[in-house]
Amino acid sequence: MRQILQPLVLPNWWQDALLTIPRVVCGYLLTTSFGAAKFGLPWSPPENNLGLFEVAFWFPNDVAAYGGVFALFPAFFAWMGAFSEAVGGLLLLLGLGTRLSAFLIICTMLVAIFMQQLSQGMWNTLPAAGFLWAALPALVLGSGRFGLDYLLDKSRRHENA
Amino acid sequence: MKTPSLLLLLTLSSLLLPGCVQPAHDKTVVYLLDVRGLPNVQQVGLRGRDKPLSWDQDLPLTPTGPDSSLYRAVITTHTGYLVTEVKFTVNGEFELKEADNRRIEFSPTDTTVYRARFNVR
Repeated sequence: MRQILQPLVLPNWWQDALLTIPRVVCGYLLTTSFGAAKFGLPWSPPENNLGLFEVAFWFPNDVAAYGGVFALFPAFFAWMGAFSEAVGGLLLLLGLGTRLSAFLIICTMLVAIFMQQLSQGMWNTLPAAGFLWAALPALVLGSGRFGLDYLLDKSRRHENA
Repeated sequence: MKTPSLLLLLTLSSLLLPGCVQPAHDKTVVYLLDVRGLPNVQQVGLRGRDKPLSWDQDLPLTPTGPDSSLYRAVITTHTGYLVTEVKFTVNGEFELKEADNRRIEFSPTDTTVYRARFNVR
């Protein structure tokens, strides 16, 4: 578990800073806009009438239309997808549990690309693909220097020293 | 996490998470549109965000009487939201071009009556 949480730190601080930009932008957009519109968080639009951690009524129907295993457990996959965007986006933004949140976001975006958007043309896959590429460095490196994982890992090391 | 625990967690999640889906109800809106003063009205329509409406195709409104300038449509939407968004069309042309959509707040009861004049907010 520690290996999953421990960030890889690049040789120079500016390299970590540069890779923080797509992570923070991706996390911010997912948690405040794309995710919050379909998953109940305190900052979800009030007119969407979502309870805390509730997935929007229409999303399981969309997911069921993908067929196969998605049609068997549409509410489960819809909840997981919306959670990955809304909560995973927040965690990615903060750099907390960075690899896990990046993994959830990447899985969700792969489903969005191949099960939903690709059939409408390659251009339609770009938003999901953008989030996928932005999350990929975070999956490999974790939060880097600029995230809560780094601070937690540092304090853990001080305790063990 | 060991494989049996993971399987148990997945099974429990797939059983419990459907309870975390937002409840949805049928909401009916009676749209009444006044087209008084508009020349050559052939067709009055409604477009909107929530099914059965769409932004691509008119759902026709019908006159409330012969020679009436008041048109009517009754739309029932299965939704969990508090608000829907629509625009009216006359002869296929949108009203309120370059302006925000009309936002209709659903009444807490089943039916909402929405009265409007074409191109007037």
